[in-house]
Amino acid sequence: MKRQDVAFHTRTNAAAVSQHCISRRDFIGQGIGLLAAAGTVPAFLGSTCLALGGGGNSNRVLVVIQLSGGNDGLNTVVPFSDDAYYRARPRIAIPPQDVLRLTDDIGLHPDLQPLQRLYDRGELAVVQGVGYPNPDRSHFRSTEIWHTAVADGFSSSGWLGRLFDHTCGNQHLSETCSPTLGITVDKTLSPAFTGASSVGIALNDAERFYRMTRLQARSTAKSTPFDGGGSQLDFLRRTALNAELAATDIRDAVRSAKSTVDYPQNAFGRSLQLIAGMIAGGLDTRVYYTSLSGFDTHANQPTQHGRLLKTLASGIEAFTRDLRASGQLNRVLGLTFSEFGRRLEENGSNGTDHGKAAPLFMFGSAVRPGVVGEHPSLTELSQGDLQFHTDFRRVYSTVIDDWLGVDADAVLANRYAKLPLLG
Amino acid sequence: MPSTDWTWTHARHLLNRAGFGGRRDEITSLYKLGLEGAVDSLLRPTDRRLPQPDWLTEDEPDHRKLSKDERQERRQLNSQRLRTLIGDWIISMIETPTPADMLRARMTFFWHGHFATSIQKVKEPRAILAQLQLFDAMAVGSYGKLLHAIVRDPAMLIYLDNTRNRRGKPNENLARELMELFSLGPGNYSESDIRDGARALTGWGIGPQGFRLAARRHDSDKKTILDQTGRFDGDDFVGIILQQPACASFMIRKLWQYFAGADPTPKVLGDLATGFRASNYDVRLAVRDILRHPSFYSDAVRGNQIKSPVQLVVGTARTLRVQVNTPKIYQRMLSLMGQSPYQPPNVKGWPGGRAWIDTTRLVTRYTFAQMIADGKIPGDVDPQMSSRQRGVQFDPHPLVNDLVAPEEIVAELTNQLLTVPPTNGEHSLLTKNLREDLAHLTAPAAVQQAVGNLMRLPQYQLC
Repeated sequence: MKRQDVAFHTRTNAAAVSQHCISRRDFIGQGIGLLAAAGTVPAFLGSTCLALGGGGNSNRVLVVIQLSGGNDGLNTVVPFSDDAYYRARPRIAIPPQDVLRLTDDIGLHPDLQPLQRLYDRGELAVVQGVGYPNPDRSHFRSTEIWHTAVADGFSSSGWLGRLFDHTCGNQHLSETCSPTLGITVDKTLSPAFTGASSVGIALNDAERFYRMTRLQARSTAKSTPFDGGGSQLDFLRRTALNAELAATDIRDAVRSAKSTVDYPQNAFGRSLQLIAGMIAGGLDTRVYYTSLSGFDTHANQPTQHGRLLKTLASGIEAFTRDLRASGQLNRVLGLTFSEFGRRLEENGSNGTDHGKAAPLFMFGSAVRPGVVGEHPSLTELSQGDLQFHTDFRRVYSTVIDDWLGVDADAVLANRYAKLPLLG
Repeated sequence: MPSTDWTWTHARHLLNRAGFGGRRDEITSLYKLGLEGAVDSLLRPTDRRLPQPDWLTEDEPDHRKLSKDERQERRQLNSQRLRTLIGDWIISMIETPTPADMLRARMTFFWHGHFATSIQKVKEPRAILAQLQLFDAMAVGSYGKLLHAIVRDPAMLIYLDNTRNRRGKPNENLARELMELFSLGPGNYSESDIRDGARALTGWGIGPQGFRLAARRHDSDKKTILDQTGRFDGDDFVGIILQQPACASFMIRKLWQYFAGADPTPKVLGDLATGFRASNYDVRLAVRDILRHPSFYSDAVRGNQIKSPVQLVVGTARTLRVQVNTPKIYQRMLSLMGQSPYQPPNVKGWPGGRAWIDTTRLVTRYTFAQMIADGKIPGDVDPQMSSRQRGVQFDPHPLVNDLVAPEEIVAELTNQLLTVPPTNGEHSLLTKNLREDLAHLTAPAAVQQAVGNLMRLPQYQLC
């Protein structure tokens, strides 16, 4: 076999066909008679089981956590041995004695204690100096670059959308795969999921989502064939059908998961808890996505940033504890990112302005623990900002190829050298 | 467009986009005016103003003299006032008496999305009200004046941290967004323009009476912004921006996208931008040119815009003359659909288009349809709401007048409420459901159900 990703979507292993296929088939039989009558059952209803089955890495899950607003990398992974850090940040630097040391030179913000525990367990990797060429300090453009994985031009698809397009085997709208392959737990679907195959469910609450999808019962939307031309109407019909099909599977999965782990009582904790439930419940989902926002700390950074990092770290710790308890941790890889880091020098408002390179975290029992790459120099700056040395697409490439077993070069339309992050 | 091509359907399209959709009589009146007359009539709103809250005349207490508890109380009061203010704004959009008032309300909302500001950060009702009144007053006024006004607008100065921008310690937030999002767009300025622009805006802050220029905090040294050098202040900075050719194109593109729901062709963009610049940024003329443009009536445009939550909720409530006991219902619905007024996702406003729709947001639209059909709010929407608050009324009679045959009723409803027609299968299912409902419900209740069913069609999400 040349590429592992062949197994991802085309090889049907009868034993691996999950019960979701069956429930979906039953559902089609009972609920969407009109569809059959129209003679145009969307192909994904037929091909779902293919996507679910297969060997290779087909049961592995990626969880992406977006830190929106531009997380201050320097106060997250602190270069406490470097005087230049303290000179540039007389008011907001983390004092050396408060830093949770990882190496002789760098350590974590004091509110990241739960991540230090993961690090000590060998379940956390820190990738330093991540960015991309010609960095853009606009939130929107830089977020778009991370979402699309295209830094030098416009792309109408997201990197995860292209991943789904690729694994679903083709770009035809009429033949797509299971909509639950990608799930965003957030107010809305992440733009990283945008792709021709319209994979992707957005929800916050499994039970409410289920009840709301039942309200379309008398609508005729599902009785009508897709035109396959990518029209607005087609997009709306597809989304309606995705919602209806996914809601039952998701509700059943979450109900079947029996978690006893306590999560922090905040929206981010609840999102991770829902994701853990869906993982334990055995959905066919390969990528989960959620976010934590508020990192745009132009003013009064210390309090706000500390609170956010605590929310992040305690949420991740509860999540990994939950996955360990349900026996799922070995098939889950977590990845955090933010659209950019922040300026080395603090500003006049006890905060920091938009910057460039920053570290990111990966977690799970499969990561190769430790610190990857050097901390960027605090003296050789680019317009007052840290310079990146690791293109974020190398991280994507590693995750796509080494973790999900999909041809990263095809998804990213370019070759990015992989990093030693796994195994 | 040749005047002979002007049809009732075109008038319906115009009202869908310039307003929140129209009732049959409104569409017909507009149609009779012809294209140019119709567009001109839309640019003559009544002298109606936004509702004035009764607390506006109250004296603001001196915050420094308040105790901790009093401050806490004050925060709650402010948050309550903000919710009420926004609820009243939504109701005022629904109660727009004329199509021209709808266009004005649409433009007021446009400016809110363009100069996005959030009450999650700006918790001052007076500042938010002042900004909203600015947008309302200048809805179709001079864009140049509006841009000058926005860098003195207290809510914006707070939202983008300019109150902290001072000599020697610049804060770039406002300077960056002023060029990237409010006027020029990416690629038309450099990072050093942002840095010097931020310096020009140092000291532009707020005091007890609103905008205040703190001379001691202002950096009066030389700056170089967009290839011009001088001892610039915030007004100079805005003036330099307005001299850039990119400015008119950026704004025309955004206005075109708002009304047409698609990108303009290069030719359309070039023509309209040239006119906009020549008119010294007269928004009224720009809107007129857009709404009269033949491309605005092309097949690629008509029926191809996904309604924003505000278009959907306000349009439905207005067209059907829905009565509710509290605007909270609408606020909750808009929030679930992803468009809470004065709570945009970020300073870029709402991205719109297909971003309005994902699985959860679409089923929320069905919940809204259910609410219209059943005359009450489904429990999931807000479990805390009392049963009195849950009440929703609308009288379907004006929609269908004296029609009795299910086929005729469905035909009339689809003609009035849908831009994109249902398929034959959908049409017959609507008719079949209505026939069944008429057998065991009163006629108005059955028609109400039919409206709810129609609102759950994908076509209803389009205009």
